[in-house]
Amino acid sequence: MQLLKLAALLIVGITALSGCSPTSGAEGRARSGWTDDGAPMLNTKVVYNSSTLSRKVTIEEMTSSKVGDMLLAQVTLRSKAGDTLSFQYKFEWFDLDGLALNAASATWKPLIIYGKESKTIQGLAPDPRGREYKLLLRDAD
Amino acid sequence: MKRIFSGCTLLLLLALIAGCASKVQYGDAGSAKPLSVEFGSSDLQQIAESMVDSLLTFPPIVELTAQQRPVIAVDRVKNKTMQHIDTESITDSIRTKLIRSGKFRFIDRTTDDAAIEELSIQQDSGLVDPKTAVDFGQQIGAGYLLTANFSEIRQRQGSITDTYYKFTMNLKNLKTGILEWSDEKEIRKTFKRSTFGG
Repeated sequence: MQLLKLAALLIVGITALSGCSPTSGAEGRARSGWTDDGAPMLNTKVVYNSSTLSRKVTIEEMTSSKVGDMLLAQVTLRSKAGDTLSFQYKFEWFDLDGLALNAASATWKPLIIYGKESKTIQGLAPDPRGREYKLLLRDAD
Repeated sequence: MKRIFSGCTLLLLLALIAGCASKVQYGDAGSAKPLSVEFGSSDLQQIAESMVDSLLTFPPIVELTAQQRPVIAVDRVKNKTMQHIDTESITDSIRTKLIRSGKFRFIDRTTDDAAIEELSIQQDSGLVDPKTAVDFGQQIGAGYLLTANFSEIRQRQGSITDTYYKFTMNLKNLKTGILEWSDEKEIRKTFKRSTFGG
Protein backbone atom coordinates (compact mmCIF):
# COMPACT_ATOMS: atom_id res chain seq x y z
CA MET A 1 0.00 0.00 0.00
CA GLN A 2 2.79 2.36 1.00
CA LEU A 3 4.58 1.54 -2.23
CA LEU A 4 1.46 2.30 -4.27
CA LYS A 5 1.17 5.72 -2.67
CA LEU A 6 4.79 6.45 -3.42
CA ALA A 7 4.34 5.39 -7.02
CA ALA A 8 1.27 7.61 -7.36
CA LEU A 9 3.15 10.60 -5.97
CA LEU A 10 6.10 9.90 -8.23
CA ILE A 11 3.95 9.76 -11.36
CA VAL A 12 2.18 12.99 -10.43
CA GLY A 13 5.56 14.61 -9.84
CA ILE A 14 6.98 13.41 -13.16
CA THR A 15 3.90 14.57 -15.06
CA ALA A 16 4.20 18.01 -13.50
CA LEU A 17 7.90 18.21 -14.37
CA SER A 18 7.71 16.98 -17.95
CA GLY A 19 5.06 19.52 -18.90
CA CYS A 20 7.42 22.46 -19.22
CA SER A 21 9.92 23.22 -21.95
CA PRO A 22 12.83 25.60 -21.42
CA THR A 23 12.74 29.26 -22.27
CA SER A 24 15.93 31.06 -23.02
CA GLY A 25 17.67 31.47 -19.69
CA ALA A 26 20.30 33.96 -20.73
CA GLU A 27 20.48 36.58 -23.44
CA GLY A 28 23.60 38.38 -24.50
CA ARG A 29 23.32 41.30 -26.87
CA ALA A 30 26.19 42.99 -28.64
CA ARG A 31 26.22 45.89 -31.05
CA SER A 32 29.25 46.81 -33.05
CA GLY A 33 30.04 50.35 -33.93
CA TRP A 34 32.93 52.68 -34.40
CA THR A 35 34.32 55.45 -32.23
CA ASP A 36 34.99 58.90 -33.66
CA ASP A 37 38.57 57.97 -34.49
CA GLY A 38 37.49 54.80 -36.31
CA ALA A 39 38.36 52.20 -33.67
CA PRO A 40 35.87 49.35 -33.45
CA MET A 41 33.67 49.45 -30.40
CA LEU A 42 31.27 46.88 -29.05
CA ASN A 43 28.39 47.53 -26.70
CA THR A 44 27.38 44.38 -24.91
CA LYS A 45 24.52 43.62 -22.59
CA VAL A 46 23.87 40.31 -20.87
CA VAL A 47 20.53 39.45 -19.28
CA TYR A 48 19.97 36.34 -17.19
CA ASN A 49 16.30 35.40 -17.19
CA SER A 50 16.76 32.23 -15.23
CA SER A 51 18.53 32.08 -11.90
CA THR A 52 19.16 28.34 -12.29
CA LEU A 53 21.00 28.99 -15.56
CA SER A 54 22.96 31.92 -14.18
CA ARG A 55 24.14 29.65 -11.36
CA LYS A 56 25.41 27.13 -13.92
CA VAL A 57 26.98 29.24 -16.63
CA THR A 58 28.33 32.71 -17.16
CA ILE A 59 28.87 34.69 -20.36
CA GLU A 60 32.49 35.76 -20.01
CA GLU A 61 33.19 37.64 -23.18
CA MET A 62 31.31 38.83 -26.24
CA THR A 63 33.28 40.05 -29.18
CA SER A 64 33.03 40.32 -32.94
CA SER A 65 35.29 40.66 -35.89
CA LYS A 66 34.85 41.52 -39.54
CA VAL A 67 35.50 38.75 -42.06
CA GLY A 68 35.45 40.53 -45.40
CA ASP A 69 32.29 42.61 -45.01
CA MET A 70 30.52 40.08 -42.79
CA LEU A 71 30.48 40.21 -39.00
CA LEU A 72 31.59 37.14 -37.07
CA ALA A 73 30.38 36.98 -33.48
CA GLN A 74 32.22 35.14 -30.77
CA VAL A 75 31.02 34.45 -27.26
CA THR A 76 32.97 32.75 -24.47
CA LEU A 77 30.95 30.87 -21.89
CA ARG A 78 32.24 29.38 -18.65
CA SER A 79 30.62 26.64 -16.66
CA LYS A 80 30.32 27.16 -12.93
CA ALA A 81 29.16 23.62 -12.34
CA GLY A 82 31.33 20.60 -11.66
CA ASP A 83 29.52 18.23 -14.01
CA THR A 84 28.84 18.24 -17.74
CA LEU A 85 26.10 20.61 -18.86
CA SER A 86 23.92 20.51 -21.98
CA PHE A 87 22.64 23.73 -23.47
CA GLN A 88 21.14 25.03 -26.67
CA TYR A 89 22.11 28.36 -28.18
CA LYS A 90 21.29 30.50 -31.15
CA PHE A 91 22.43 33.77 -32.64
CA GLU A 92 19.91 36.30 -33.84
CA TRP A 93 21.12 39.08 -36.10
CA PHE A 94 20.03 42.67 -36.58
CA ASP A 95 21.05 45.40 -39.00
CA LEU A 96 22.25 48.93 -38.14
CA ASP A 97 18.71 50.10 -37.50
CA GLY A 98 17.99 47.15 -35.21
CA LEU A 99 15.79 45.33 -37.73
CA ALA A 100 15.91 41.55 -37.41
CA LEU A 101 17.61 39.67 -40.26
CA ASN A 102 17.06 36.05 -39.29
CA ALA A 103 14.70 36.10 -36.33
CA ALA A 104 12.44 33.51 -37.94
CA SER A 105 15.13 31.26 -39.38
CA ALA A 106 17.66 31.16 -36.54
CA THR A 107 17.85 27.63 -35.20
CA TRP A 108 18.92 26.24 -31.85
CA LYS A 109 22.18 24.37 -31.74
CA PRO A 110 23.26 21.93 -29.06
CA LEU A 111 26.22 22.79 -26.85
CA ILE A 112 28.01 20.65 -24.30
CA ILE A 113 30.24 22.23 -21.68
CA TYR A 114 32.29 20.02 -19.39
CA GLY A 115 32.69 20.88 -15.71
CA LYS A 116 34.36 24.25 -15.00
CA GLU A 117 35.39 24.47 -18.64
CA SER A 118 35.10 27.53 -20.83
CA LYS A 119 33.78 27.19 -24.34
CA THR A 120 33.84 29.55 -27.28
CA ILE A 121 31.02 29.63 -29.79
CA GLN A 122 30.89 31.54 -33.04
CA GLY A 123 28.16 32.72 -35.32
CA LEU A 124 28.36 34.44 -38.70
CA ALA A 125 25.93 37.13 -39.77
CA PRO A 126 23.56 35.90 -42.49
CA ASP A 127 24.58 38.77 -44.79
CA PRO A 128 26.73 41.94 -44.75
CA ARG A 129 23.91 43.99 -43.17
CA GLY A 130 24.33 42.21 -39.80
CA ARG A 131 25.79 44.65 -37.26
CA GLU A 132 24.20 43.60 -33.99
CA TYR A 133 23.71 40.15 -32.55
CA LYS A 134 21.93 38.51 -29.72
CA LEU A 135 22.97 35.20 -28.21
CA LEU A 136 20.21 33.19 -26.62
CA LEU A 137 21.12 30.37 -24.30
CA ARG A 138 18.82 27.82 -22.72
CA ASP A 139 18.88 24.44 -21.06
CA ALA A 140 18.61 21.48 -23.43
CA ASP A 141 15.03 20.21 -23.52
CA MET B 1 -3.99 9.45 5.69
CA LYS B 2 -6.81 7.91 3.73
CA ARG B 3 -7.80 11.33 2.42
CA ILE B 4 -4.25 12.03 1.21
CA PHE B 5 -4.20 8.72 -0.56
CA SER B 6 -7.52 9.29 -2.34
CA GLY B 7 -6.26 12.75 -3.28
CA CYS B 8 -3.19 11.17 -4.79
CA THR B 9 -5.24 8.64 -6.71
CA LEU B 10 -7.42 11.43 -8.08
CA LEU B 11 -4.37 13.38 -9.19
CA LEU B 12 -2.92 10.26 -10.76
CA LEU B 13 -6.18 9.63 -12.59
CA LEU B 14 -6.25 13.24 -13.82
CA ALA B 15 -2.65 12.97 -14.98
CA LEU B 16 -3.44 9.81 -16.89
CA ILE B 17 -6.52 11.31 -18.54
CA ALA B 18 -4.56 14.44 -19.48
CA GLY B 19 -1.80 12.26 -20.88
CA CYS B 20 -4.19 10.27 -23.03
CA ALA B 21 -5.95 13.18 -24.73
CA SER B 22 -4.87 13.56 -28.37
CA LYS B 23 -3.30 16.90 -29.08
CA VAL B 24 -2.01 18.64 -32.18
CA GLN B 25 0.14 21.72 -31.85
CA TYR B 26 2.72 23.74 -33.73
CA GLY B 27 6.30 23.10 -32.75
CA ASP B 28 9.47 25.14 -33.11
CA ALA B 29 10.99 24.37 -36.54
CA GLY B 30 14.38 25.40 -35.15
CA SER B 31 14.23 23.18 -32.08
CA ALA B 32 17.32 21.12 -31.29
CA LYS B 33 15.56 18.38 -29.36
CA PRO B 34 16.77 14.98 -30.59
CA LEU B 35 14.11 12.28 -30.76
CA SER B 36 16.30 9.43 -31.98
CA VAL B 37 19.77 8.74 -33.34
CA GLU B 38 18.35 8.84 -36.87
CA PHE B 39 19.16 11.89 -38.97
CA GLY B 40 16.84 14.71 -37.90
CA SER B 41 15.89 18.28 -38.75
CA SER B 42 18.30 19.83 -36.25
CA ASP B 43 21.17 17.77 -37.70
CA LEU B 44 20.36 19.16 -41.14
CA GLN B 45 20.26 22.73 -39.81
CA GLN B 46 23.54 22.29 -37.93
CA ILE B 47 25.28 20.89 -41.01
CA ALA B 48 23.99 23.65 -43.29
CA GLU B 49 24.91 26.47 -40.92
CA SER B 50 28.33 25.05 -40.14
CA MET B 51 29.21 24.59 -43.84
CA VAL B 52 28.00 28.07 -44.81
CA ASP B 53 29.83 29.78 -41.91
CA SER B 54 33.02 27.90 -42.74
CA LEU B 55 32.90 28.66 -46.45
CA LEU B 56 32.13 32.35 -45.97
CA THR B 57 34.93 32.88 -43.42
CA PHE B 58 37.69 30.92 -45.19
CA PRO B 59 40.28 33.62 -46.06
CA PRO B 60 40.91 32.68 -49.76
CA ILE B 61 37.12 32.56 -50.30
CA VAL B 62 36.69 35.95 -48.57
CA GLU B 63 39.32 37.30 -50.97
CA LEU B 64 37.64 35.65 -53.97
CA THR B 65 34.15 36.91 -53.16
CA ALA B 66 35.41 40.44 -52.46
CA GLN B 67 36.00 40.96 -56.20
CA GLN B 68 33.24 38.86 -57.78
CA ARG B 69 30.24 36.67 -57.07
CA PRO B 70 31.41 33.24 -58.27
CA VAL B 71 28.93 30.95 -60.02
CA ILE B 72 28.55 27.53 -58.41
CA ALA B 73 26.90 24.28 -59.46
CA VAL B 74 25.84 21.84 -56.74
CA ASP B 75 26.58 18.15 -57.13
CA ARG B 76 24.47 15.38 -55.62
CA VAL B 77 25.59 14.39 -52.10
CA LYS B 78 27.10 10.91 -51.91
CA ASN B 79 25.01 9.36 -49.17
CA LYS B 80 27.07 6.61 -47.56
CA THR B 81 24.92 6.37 -44.44
CA MET B 82 22.63 3.43 -43.78
CA GLN B 83 19.61 5.70 -43.92
CA HIS B 84 17.44 7.00 -46.70
CA ILE B 85 18.04 10.74 -46.44
CA ASP B 86 16.85 13.49 -48.73
CA THR B 87 20.35 14.89 -49.18
CA GLU B 88 19.10 17.44 -51.71
CA SER B 89 17.35 19.08 -48.78
CA ILE B 90 20.74 19.60 -47.09
CA THR B 91 22.32 21.13 -50.21
CA ASP B 92 19.17 23.22 -50.75
CA SER B 93 19.58 24.74 -47.27
CA ILE B 94 23.26 25.42 -47.91
CA ARG B 95 22.55 26.95 -51.30
CA THR B 96 19.77 29.15 -49.92
CA LYS B 97 21.99 30.50 -47.15
CA LEU B 98 24.85 31.14 -49.58
CA ILE B 99 22.58 32.97 -52.03
CA ARG B 100 21.12 35.04 -49.20
CA SER B 101 24.62 36.02 -48.07
CA GLY B 102 24.96 37.77 -51.44
CA LYS B 103 28.41 36.26 -52.01
CA PHE B 104 27.68 33.54 -54.55
CA ARG B 105 25.46 32.84 -57.53
CA PHE B 106 24.18 29.38 -58.41
CA ILE B 107 23.01 27.48 -61.42
CA ASP B 108 20.34 24.84 -60.97
CA ARG B 109 20.47 21.92 -63.39
CA THR B 110 17.34 20.29 -61.95
CA THR B 111 15.08 22.85 -63.64
CA ASP B 112 16.80 22.72 -67.05
CA ASP B 113 14.00 20.74 -68.73
CA ALA B 114 11.48 23.45 -67.91
CA ALA B 115 13.96 26.14 -69.04
CA ILE B 116 14.58 24.39 -72.39
CA GLU B 117 10.83 24.04 -72.95
CA GLU B 118 10.30 27.74 -72.22
CA LEU B 119 13.17 28.79 -74.53
CA SER B 120 11.82 26.54 -77.30
CA ILE B 121 8.41 28.19 -77.04
CA GLN B 122 10.04 31.64 -77.13
CA GLN B 123 12.09 30.71 -80.20
CA ASP B 124 9.76 28.52 -82.23
CA SER B 125 6.12 29.13 -81.38
CA GLY B 126 5.91 32.52 -83.07
CA LEU B 127 4.12 33.90 -80.02
CA VAL B 128 7.04 35.85 -78.63
CA ASP B 129 8.47 39.08 -79.99
CA PRO B 130 11.90 38.02 -81.38
CA LYS B 131 13.43 41.16 -79.87
CA THR B 132 12.58 39.96 -76.34
CA ALA B 133 12.95 36.19 -76.92
CA VAL B 134 15.87 34.67 -75.02
CA ASP B 135 18.39 32.87 -77.24
CA PHE B 136 19.85 29.48 -76.53
CA GLY B 137 23.50 29.30 -75.53
CA GLN B 138 23.69 32.42 -73.40
CA GLN B 139 23.72 30.95 -69.92
CA ILE B 140 26.76 31.41 -67.71
CA GLY B 141 28.84 28.32 -67.02
CA ALA B 142 29.60 27.50 -63.41
CA GLY B 143 33.17 28.13 -62.36
CA TYR B 144 32.95 26.01 -59.23
CA LEU B 145 31.36 22.74 -58.17
CA LEU B 146 30.15 22.06 -54.65
CA THR B 147 30.52 18.37 -53.81
CA ALA B 148 29.70 16.49 -50.62
CA ASN B 149 30.03 13.15 -48.86
CA PHE B 150 27.85 12.00 -46.01
CA SER B 151 28.86 9.04 -43.90
CA GLU B 152 27.78 7.37 -40.71
CA ILE B 153 29.39 5.07 -38.15
CA ARG B 154 27.01 3.25 -35.85
CA GLN B 155 28.07 1.28 -32.81
CA ARG B 156 25.95 -0.76 -30.44
CA GLN B 157 27.00 -1.93 -27.01
CA GLY B 158 24.31 -3.46 -24.84
CA SER B 159 21.60 -0.85 -24.37
CA ILE B 160 23.64 1.99 -25.90
CA THR B 161 23.52 3.00 -29.57
CA ASP B 162 26.10 5.53 -30.65
CA THR B 163 25.82 7.17 -34.06
CA TYR B 164 28.47 9.37 -35.56
CA TYR B 165 27.74 11.40 -38.67
CA LYS B 166 30.30 13.13 -40.83
CA PHE B 167 29.39 15.54 -43.59
CA THR B 168 32.31 16.59 -45.79
CA MET B 169 31.97 19.33 -48.36
CA ASN B 170 34.40 20.56 -51.02
CA LEU B 171 34.45 23.48 -53.41
CA LYS B 172 36.18 22.46 -56.61
CA ASN B 173 37.50 24.96 -59.12
CA LEU B 174 36.25 23.52 -62.44
CA LYS B 175 38.94 25.25 -64.48
CA THR B 176 41.95 24.09 -62.47
CA GLY B 177 40.53 21.04 -60.67
CA ILE B 178 41.83 22.44 -57.38
CA LEU B 179 39.76 22.08 -54.22
CA GLU B 180 39.53 25.69 -53.08
CA TRP B 181 37.79 24.92 -49.81
CA SER B 182 36.87 21.89 -47.77
CA ASP B 183 35.37 21.34 -44.35
CA GLU B 184 33.52 18.74 -42.37
CA LYS B 185 30.85 18.73 -39.72
CA GLU B 186 30.68 15.94 -37.19
CA ILE B 187 27.63 15.06 -35.14
CA ARG B 188 27.46 12.42 -32.43
CA LYS B 189 24.17 11.10 -31.09
CA THR B 190 23.86 8.57 -28.31
CA PHE B 191 20.77 6.63 -27.37
CA LYS B 192 20.56 4.71 -24.12
CA ARG B 193 17.66 2.32 -23.83
CA SER B 194 16.13 2.66 -20.38
CA THR B 195 15.81 -0.44 -18.23
CA PHE B 196 12.04 -0.04 -18.01
CA GLY B 197 9.96 0.21 -21.17
CA GLY B 198 11.05 1.50 -24.55
